[in-house]
Amino acid sequence: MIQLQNVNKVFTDTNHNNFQALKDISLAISPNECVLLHGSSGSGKTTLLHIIASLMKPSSGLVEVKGENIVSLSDYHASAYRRSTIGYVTQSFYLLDNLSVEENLLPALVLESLSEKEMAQKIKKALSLANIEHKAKQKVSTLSGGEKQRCIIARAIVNDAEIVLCDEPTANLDKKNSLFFLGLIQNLKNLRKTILIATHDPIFEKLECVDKVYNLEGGSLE
Amino acid sequence: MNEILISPQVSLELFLSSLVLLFLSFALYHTLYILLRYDKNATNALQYELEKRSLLTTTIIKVALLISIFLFILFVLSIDTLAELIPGAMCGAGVVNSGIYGSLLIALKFIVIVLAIFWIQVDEEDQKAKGFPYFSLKMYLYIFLYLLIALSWFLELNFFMSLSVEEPVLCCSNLYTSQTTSFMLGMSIEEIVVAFYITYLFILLATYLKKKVFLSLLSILFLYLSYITIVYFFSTYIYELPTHKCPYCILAKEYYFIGYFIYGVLVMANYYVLYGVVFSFKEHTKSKIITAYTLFVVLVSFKYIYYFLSNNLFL
Amino acid sequence: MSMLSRLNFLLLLLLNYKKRYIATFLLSSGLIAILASVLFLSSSIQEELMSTLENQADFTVQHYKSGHLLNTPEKWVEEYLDIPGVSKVQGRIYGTHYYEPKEQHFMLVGLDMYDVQIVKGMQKLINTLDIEKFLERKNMIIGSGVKDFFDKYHYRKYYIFRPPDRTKEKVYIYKEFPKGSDLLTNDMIVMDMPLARKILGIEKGYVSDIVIELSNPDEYQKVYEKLIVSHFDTRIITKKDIAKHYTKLFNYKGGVFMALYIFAIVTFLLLLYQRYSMVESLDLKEIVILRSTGWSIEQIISFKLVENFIVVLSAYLIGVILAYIYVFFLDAPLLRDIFLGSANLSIHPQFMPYIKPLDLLILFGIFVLPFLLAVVIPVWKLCVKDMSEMIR
Repeated sequence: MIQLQNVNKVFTDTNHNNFQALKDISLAISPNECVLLHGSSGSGKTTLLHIIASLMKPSSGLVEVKGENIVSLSDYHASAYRRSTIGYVTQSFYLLDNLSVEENLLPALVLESLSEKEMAQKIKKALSLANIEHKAKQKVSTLSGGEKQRCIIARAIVNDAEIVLCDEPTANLDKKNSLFFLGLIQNLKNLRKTILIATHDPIFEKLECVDKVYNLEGGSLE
Repeated sequence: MNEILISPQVSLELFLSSLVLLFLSFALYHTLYILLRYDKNATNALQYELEKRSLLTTTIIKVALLISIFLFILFVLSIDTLAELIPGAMCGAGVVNSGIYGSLLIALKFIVIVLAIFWIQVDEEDQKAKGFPYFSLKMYLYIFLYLLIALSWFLELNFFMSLSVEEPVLCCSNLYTSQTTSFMLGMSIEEIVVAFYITYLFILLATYLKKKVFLSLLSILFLYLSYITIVYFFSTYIYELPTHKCPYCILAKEYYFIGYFIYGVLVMANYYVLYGVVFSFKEHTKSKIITAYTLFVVLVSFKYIYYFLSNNLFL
Repeated sequence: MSMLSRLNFLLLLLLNYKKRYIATFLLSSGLIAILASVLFLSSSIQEELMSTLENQADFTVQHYKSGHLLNTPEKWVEEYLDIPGVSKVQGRIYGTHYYEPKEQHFMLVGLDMYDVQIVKGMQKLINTLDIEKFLERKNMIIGSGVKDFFDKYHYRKYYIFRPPDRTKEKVYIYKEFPKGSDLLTNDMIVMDMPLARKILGIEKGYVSDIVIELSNPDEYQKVYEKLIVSHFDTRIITKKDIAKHYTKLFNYKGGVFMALYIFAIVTFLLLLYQRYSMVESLDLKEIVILRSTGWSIEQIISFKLVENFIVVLSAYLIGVILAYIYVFFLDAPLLRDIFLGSANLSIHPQFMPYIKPLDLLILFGIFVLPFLLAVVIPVWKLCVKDMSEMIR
């Protein structure tokens, strides 16, 4: 499903200082696998997720998703790929606070040519999967941290993405909500999604459905 | 200071077109930057950076196109109101002909609009296709377009500066007296009209047979013939006045703004030809070209045929 | 469909994040309102002047000698009548009456009530009169500015003029000029011709000037040439001269305001540029959301531009409506003094609602389009930022 070969990423800041965020990363993820990417903050987890989501290009190396090299895609095609294949679970900060829960799913839907009815159906399905259906009309700013995170998940899966990428999903959650999140991951796995979770939260050790664990330290896999 | 230059329409016209040129120059800088660094085999990260940069050009051109269309309308309207200031000029045509650059300027503005629409299309195709097949075409076309716009800016400035409120112009006089002048190859206006219709038929044929080179040559010829026939022949029927030969008054309210439709359809027709010649010549492109040209011919000939049928004679 | 739902989403965002745009919106609509008022006002005044122009004579001949304006010999009237193409010639009596204590002057016009007037505005006025009754005693018709002035100094029924021959002339106020012709008649007093002649001290055999009407406008140039050669001590004013003068005058005033506009707009654009240069966290957040849900950079740029366009377009519409109310319902307090500053009597014009489409177009071009251009570069810069930069 996802295959990385010798992926490097070098950032150059304004003073021409180079910083190597990823060093020679090679990994392979099969369909319906749940993979944990462990690492402290600044270890390059987010960069790796961005590269897989084609939000960023590696400095060198090969990234294949579903047999296609996504590295050479233009922004137009990269976005289309992201829209159709990737569900990106960001931190709960990335929600539009003044809109309601269901309105927050719109950005993922309005680019497709959907009728009102189809849109409503998709929203309903995603919200019920993420177990936030009962708060559909509520403003995001009034939600608790856990509810916000579920809203993010609903947004990530509303387009029936096959691959779900999670970037520090439990960073702002308490223990109870984190455990609830693990349950949701289990559900996604049952829906035959491919899941990649980048985290430094030890709570994921309790997650039973994990197939593989990678440790990322200082930009290289251990 | 020149009274023409401080009249609100003209100063706005110059202000906006200068502003557009400024932004286009900025985009030109980026375009050259991209062209110098672009390398098909470069790393993907660099390509991505360049691609992001080229989006600026895309965006600026889109806004510039919007403004150009606006300025075109404003230009036509403002030369009409300027007629009040310039002694002897009765309508826009008098003003345009009072400056040496007038007609050239209108033609240039027209071409710029067609090319800008085309550029946006090339850009879209380039992004949709994988591997940027039209990348260098896009960049060189932009430079060409930029030069045309800069030229038209320069001409416009000269045009407005050369207008004088003191010297009377001989309004439309060269248009009025051209009854006996010959146009190209010594043909009379009636022969030109016949050539116009024949060219139209050939365009249909070339489109049908998908002869790209033939079609592009014909469309250039047709554009020229259209201008002559509209000014010296068809417009007189629209105005119902044999001496009124003017390409601008058809844009006026008195004639139900028919000019905008006529010129608009002509823009579209030429744009489809460009599209068909450069990109795929599919069935729907074919039917679009045929529809646009036919609509244009119908629009210009309508009054003429109507006049003939109702009066049984020509002007 | 996708276009429509994108627009829907955009409106949703705009309505729920009003705070972000309120400053831009208020500033722009205020600026638009000011600019639109200026344009509406000048167009309305120009239109009114031009429409009175329709009523003017084709030529006006004045007697000019060594740079001084003199009274015109009445015998010229007969001479001009002989010029082919001339249909009507009339001598006019008018002049200023100066009210010393307050340094005010009025325009005094004498009309031959039984003649057909070349100046059609005057003819209209006479048509509304019962001439017999008007001529029963010494009567006059006054403009609204004059009326205000008389009221202020308690000349409610009559006014006493003092002609140069040291007599007194008590003239009764017959009525006021009809509304709607304020601009030109504001400081005007109309009375019977012999009375005006006496008050102004114009001798018999002379008139103030001579107006000429043509039977065929195409003869214009020929008659003009004949008039020039018939007497060398004349100045001939044509209708076209007046029209051109008005157009120039308003273009000039327009030009002054154009400079103001540009100044105002440049300031405003700088403000705007600043707003976008200092990237707001909300903008960044929005872009991260859109990028991660599969929007391409180009789509985000267009989205942002349309967003700005909608804000500034609604500001434009609101501004235009405000200006319309200000100028045509409230009669433009303050601003009208700038435009009509030369009037020496207070003036209470009611501006005819008249809007040139060109004005609206100019306003659109001077504001909405540069605004759009100004945000292009900052918006682009914002949208092409690296994801890693935005998240940090």
